[in-house]
Parts: sequence; C-alpha cells; structure tokens
Amino acid sequence: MRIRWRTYLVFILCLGVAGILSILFGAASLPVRSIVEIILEAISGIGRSTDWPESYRVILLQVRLPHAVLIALTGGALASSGAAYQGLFRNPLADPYLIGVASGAGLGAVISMAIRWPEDLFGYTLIPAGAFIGAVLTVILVYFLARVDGIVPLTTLILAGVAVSAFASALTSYLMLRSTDQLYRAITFLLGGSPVSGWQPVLAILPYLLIAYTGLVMSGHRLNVLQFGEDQAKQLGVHVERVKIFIIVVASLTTAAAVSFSGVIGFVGLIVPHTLRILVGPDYRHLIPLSILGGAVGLLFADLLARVLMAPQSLPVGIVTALFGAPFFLWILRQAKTQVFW
Amino acid sequence: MLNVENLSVAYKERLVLQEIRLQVKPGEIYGVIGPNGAGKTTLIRVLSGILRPLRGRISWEGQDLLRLSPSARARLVAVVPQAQPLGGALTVWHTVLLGRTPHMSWLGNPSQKDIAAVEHALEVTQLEHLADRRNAELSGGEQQRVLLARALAQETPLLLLDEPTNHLDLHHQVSFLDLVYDLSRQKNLAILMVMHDLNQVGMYADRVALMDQGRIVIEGEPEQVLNPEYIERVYQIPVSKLNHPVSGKPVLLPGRHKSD
Repeated sequence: MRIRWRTYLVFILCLGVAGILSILFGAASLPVRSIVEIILEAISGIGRSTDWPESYRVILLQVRLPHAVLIALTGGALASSGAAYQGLFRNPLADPYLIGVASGAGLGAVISMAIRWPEDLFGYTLIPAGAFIGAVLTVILVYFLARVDGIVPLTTLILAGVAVSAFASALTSYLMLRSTDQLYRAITFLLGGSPVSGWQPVLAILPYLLIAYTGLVMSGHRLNVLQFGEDQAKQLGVHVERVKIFIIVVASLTTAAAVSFSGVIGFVGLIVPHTLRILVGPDYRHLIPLSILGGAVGLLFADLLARVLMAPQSLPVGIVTALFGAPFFLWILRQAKTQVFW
Repeated sequence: MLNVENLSVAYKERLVLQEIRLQVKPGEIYGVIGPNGAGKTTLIRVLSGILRPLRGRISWEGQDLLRLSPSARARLVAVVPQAQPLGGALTVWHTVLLGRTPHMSWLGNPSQKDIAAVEHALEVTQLEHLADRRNAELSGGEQQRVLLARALAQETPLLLLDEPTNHLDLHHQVSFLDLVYDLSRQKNLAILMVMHDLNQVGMYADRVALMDQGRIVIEGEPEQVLNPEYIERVYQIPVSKLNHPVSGKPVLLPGRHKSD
C-alpha cells in the first residue's frame, strides 16, 4: 500500500481541529473572539485592543495552551511507543500500559519526584530520566518473563505485563501515599492526569521526545523486517540484537516522556496503532509517524471529553481512555485469532 | 564457490554438526538429504549466520563469511525458509522489497536499483499480477514463490533453500523446483537445497550429500548417493532402485514389497 502525503495532511488537519477545540473548552468560558485575539496578539507580538480581562490571557497562554501541547505530545508518545513495542514483540497487544512499561516508568518518575529535585525546569527534566530508567528495567524484566523459546506469546506477555504492572503500581501508590500532603496528586497521577501545569512540563519532556521520536521514526524499516521473525531478519542482513536494544531504548524513552507529567494513561498505544493498521496498512515507516499524529489527536479528544463530561470538574484522562480502550482491547483479543490486519 | 571446511556446531553441549566439508559451485544445485534430526536445518542456520559454529571455516570465493557483518553476509547469502504462513498484512511487493534490506540504508527508502530488482524478482517468479495483494490472500504455493522472490531480490550469488516445497501440493512442488533449476542455470547461482523427497533430489540436484546424526555419510553424484545400500542404512527402511524411464536418473521406491 503506497501512502501518499495526503494521509499525513489529513492527520495534521485533524490535529489542528483537535488542538483548537481543546483550547476553546474549559472550566472558564472564554469568548471565542477574545481567544482568537489573544492568540493573534501572542503570535504577532503586536498589542491590540485590551477589552478582555488579563486573567483570560493567563488561562489561555499559561494553562490551556501548554496543557493541549502536553496532551498532544503525550498521546503521540504513547501511540508511537505502542506501535514500536507491537512490532518488536510481534504482538498486537503490546501497549505500554498493558505490558507494564508505563507503570514501570511511573514508578521511576515517582522515585525521581521523591528525591525532591528543585521545583524548576532543571528539576523537572530529571523526572523523565527516572521514568526512563524505570521503563527500560520493566521492559527487560517483562521480556524475559514472557519469553518462551525465543518468541513472546500473547498470553505470557500480557500475564507478565499485568503482574509487573501491578507490582510497580503498588510501589508507586505506597511511595506517594507516604507523603499524605500529596494524596490528591498521587491519585491524579495514577489515574492519568496532569498534576503540574504551565509550560515547564512541556519543556522538560521536549528534549527527550525529540530524540525518541527521531529514533522511532528511523526504526520503521527495521521493524518491518523484524516482522518475519528474528532468524529471517538476520538472514536479511539486520543486526537483530543491536536493533532490538535500540528500539527498546527509544520506545522506553518515549513512554517515559509521556508518563512523567501525565501519569499512567492506558490503551492509547493500543487503539491508535491498531486503527492506523486498518486504515493505512502495516508499514512501520508510516505507522510510527502517523501514530505520533494520531495519538495526539486521540488523546486531545479524550482529554476534551474528560474535561466536559463532569464540567466544571475534570476527570483524569486515563479514565476516559480506559472506558473506550478496554472494550477495544477485548475486540482485538478476539480479532487476534484471525490476524487479518496484523 | 562456497567452501565449508571442518565445520562443527554444538548446541547445549551436544555436537549437532561434525566435521562438515562441502563445496557448492556457481550454476549447480547441491542437494542435502537425511532423516529428521540429521542436522540439515542446522546446516542452513550456520551457513546463513544465525548460529555460530564451534569450529571450522565457511567462505565464499575465499572470503570468510564468519567475519562479515550481517548486512555484508546478506549480500552474499540469501535463504528461502521452510514453507510457513507469511505475515499477513504486508503486500507481496513490500515483502519482496524487504529482500533489498542489505542493500538499503537504515531508513529503507528504495532506490531505482532496488525497485528494478524487486520488479525483476517478481517477473522471474511470475508474481507480477499479485504484487499489490496481501500475503494472507495468497495460496501456500504462491507464498513460497514470494519467499523465493524476496531471496532473489537480495541479488546474492549463493542461495540456501530449506525444504522449500514442504506442505506444497505436487503441482506446486514441481513448478517450484523447475523454477529453482532454471535459476541456477540462467543466473549461475550456487544453490544449496535441503530436500525431503529422494526422487526429487535425483531429478534436480547435480550433487547430493546424505546426512545422518550431524555428519555427511556420503557425498557425490545422485547416482552414487541414491544407492539402496546407504539409504537403507541411514533411513532404516528397505528400498529398491530403478532408473527413470526417460531421464535415466535414479528412482527409489521405499518400503517392503508385498510379495516378499
């Protein structure tokens, strides 16, 4: 299946729409006209009429916009790392949440937070580093637990993932609940919500994500070859061990960046790549970049729902993705027998 | 010329190949036969770089294959694996393109040369009309031709085939082997093929090695190797030998005669 640039254009347009909707809706209702004017002013730098309260500016530029960007980055990261893990394990259910990597990353992030780095940008960039270590250790542990005779079967992968994930989540809860003042923050984090707002989280994960996205996009072709199995991939000239380590590192880095400030959000890495496979085919050279875009769109909409459903209160976005994701997961489980799109 | 000297392979402290010596010349089909567990597939795996040997040398035109990087090796040696269901969702065209991996960069963007090689491989294997189909839609015989096309797209001088006609019906077995035979002649490929059917070996191979328990029992022309004396000893069944009424090549009939 040859994929044209039009597919990418459609996804970029969807991302634009999702981003705009995400900025338009929120606890405070801002007039659309003010929003447009504030954004125009921010882009052009020219001061125009100031017939809106200063608080509008703050809400828009310091709360909603960075929140939307963080959500978009998180969604793209979860979806693309999901796609990469699925290709690596040759298993359609390898979602960073289901295989425990997200929980491992969450634990790493929380341990890193418990060290109480200074609450500035430098301190924040150390949180994804902790999450990355947690993610890599988890994926290696799950891989060896799930491996049977050189392959990673569906059942053992999910079982190992669930067990490791439960263990990591329990440790995370324990660590966070020890400091009772952070109870709310802990629960928000565990359910997939962003406890920190403003631009700093975005800036803190951006360097990690840029490296990780580049690595993932570069891995598309190797992931295609790996679909024949490790033996055939070697016979086709792939340095399999090296490539596997590379993909584990960049996928874990991606997951870590996603989890650090948005908590453990499930099923995005499952729904988005799987839907894309049905829409554009199994070529990882396109699946990975389209997952970055599609994941951003998907999570922006899920987040919008989370904020609208119980407005003015907002639900953690992880609840919304699980509400949609769990039935989807069961559907794939049934489909996996026929393997039509895999 | 593929030159294998003193090749021994151990698996979990057990020698699975011992002192293998063989040579395969360009333009010839070298058949490998033997009962299950004789080490035939292991031989393919070690020649294609999946297993490391305990000792011994494997070289192509004097070049040591064991010292090459995976991609350099994959430019010399291509493998057609045993018949198996192919990853369903890839198209035939893309599957064959992945045979170009050792010639392409990390990103896997095909050059004009890669595309030409893919189209040629599809033409030779008569798969052009199926190029845009998904593998899952193909029959077993067609999928096996896709694997051959993928190996041809690698443009290697040496081709290893591991029981390529297993699970195929008689028509697809014969047409596949005819194709391999023509390729060895037209493209001057050196072909090493593990085979199950002794009569097909007699028909298609230029030389044959009979393996048993990790060793080559005897090697030579089909007439020499397909001799009831060796076959009965290795397979532990009685066989009778005839000559093909047209080609004169050896034909073996396994099993006891009812009149005995």
